Amino acid sequence: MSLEIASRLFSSCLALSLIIQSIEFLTLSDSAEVRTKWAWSVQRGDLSHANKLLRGFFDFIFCDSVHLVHLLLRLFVAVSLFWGITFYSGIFLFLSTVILLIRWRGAFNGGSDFMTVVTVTGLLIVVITSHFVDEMQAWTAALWYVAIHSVTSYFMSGAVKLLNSQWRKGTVLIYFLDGGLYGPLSKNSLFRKPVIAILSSWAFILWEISFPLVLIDQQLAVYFCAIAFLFHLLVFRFFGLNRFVWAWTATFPAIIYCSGQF
Amino acid sequence: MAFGVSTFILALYLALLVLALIGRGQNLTSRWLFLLRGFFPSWRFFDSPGYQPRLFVRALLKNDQWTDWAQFIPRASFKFSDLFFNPENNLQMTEQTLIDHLCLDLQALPESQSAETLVSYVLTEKIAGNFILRNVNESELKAYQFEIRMLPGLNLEESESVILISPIIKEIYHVS
Repeated sequence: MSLEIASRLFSSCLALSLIIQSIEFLTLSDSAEVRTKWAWSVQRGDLSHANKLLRGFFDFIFCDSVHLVHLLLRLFVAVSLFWGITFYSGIFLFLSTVILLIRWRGAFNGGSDFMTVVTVTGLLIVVITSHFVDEMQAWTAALWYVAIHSVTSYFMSGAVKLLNSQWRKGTVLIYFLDGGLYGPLSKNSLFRKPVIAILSSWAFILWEISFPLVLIDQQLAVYFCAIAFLFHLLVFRFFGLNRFVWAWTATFPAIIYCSGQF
Repeated sequence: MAFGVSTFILALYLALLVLALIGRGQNLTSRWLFLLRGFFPSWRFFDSPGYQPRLFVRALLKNDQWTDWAQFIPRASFKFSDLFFNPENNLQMTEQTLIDHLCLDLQALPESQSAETLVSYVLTEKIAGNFILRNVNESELKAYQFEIRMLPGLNLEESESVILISPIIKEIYHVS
């Protein structure tokens, strides 16, 4: 995969992820129930340690009308990524992501927010380093940054499961699937069969910890990313984690580009 | 060509990763680190089937009878369209994460400080109030109370415990 195609695909997949997130945030910001439950007037207590100027800044940013403008602007800039990235769009999306992290006490949707931070940091690397090196080098650095984070995420996720005896026995899989958003599992679900649970658990663990192998060969990276996409769809099917699908998919062009370059 | 830049980024990243892994093994006590923990991801998904903090709420009805404790647990019916648009369910999951954070805040709370001063407590109170309004007819509701229980998860030899019980709350948060 050429650098140009990789950077285009990365920007487009990231655009899709950010558009979905922005529309969801816009919907929530329009809900009176959410504004009552998650009132900034309460949450601003999280910034009681910050200086007055900063608290004032966030009070302004999170007042309803400014927050709405911010989310609309974020949506607009996310759409613009389909046509490419500019210095201002890169900086804006990075800062906007940080602001949203603070609005939701560090994360709205856990890991998907963390991977979004990684990908918008990738954009930041492009727009800043391209002032010092040529654009190709800037994109190379950014794609490597994103790829390493993404590969690490799979590896770490598999490693912690491997170290847990209950994961190795398959019991944890059933436990978590029962607790999922769309759970519990039906009484006659295949996953309740111990053999299936053990095989599935080991398949996930082995696949995740072997993910760094994608860096050896580009064809292998394509296969791993295809399986990863199906894996995230499966996670969505049971846990409702739709943002994870798109946040990780945005990293696949970076993984495929960086693979086989040693 | 780009080897120099890539190597630098890689080395910097590895150093940060080691620091993050060490740091994320503990609870984040710094407020800024907590709010900006997205920059130090641990990538440890579904790793712990141990104690799970859960929110339970009960209502005091106008006839002075308490309802049973009801557990707040994010649940929904599966829809394929959720893949592209899932705000309500994502919010439910965020609210469960808030319960986890309240539990951590309670563990770190000095004895001299009341739980009611915690941001996580106040937000949980609102979520509990909203939850009870979905389960009980508002015209029958006099007050409510919530508690945080630690469910043992897969630690079958352990037992359930209550780590927080709120006072009886008479103010109901109406959604205008």
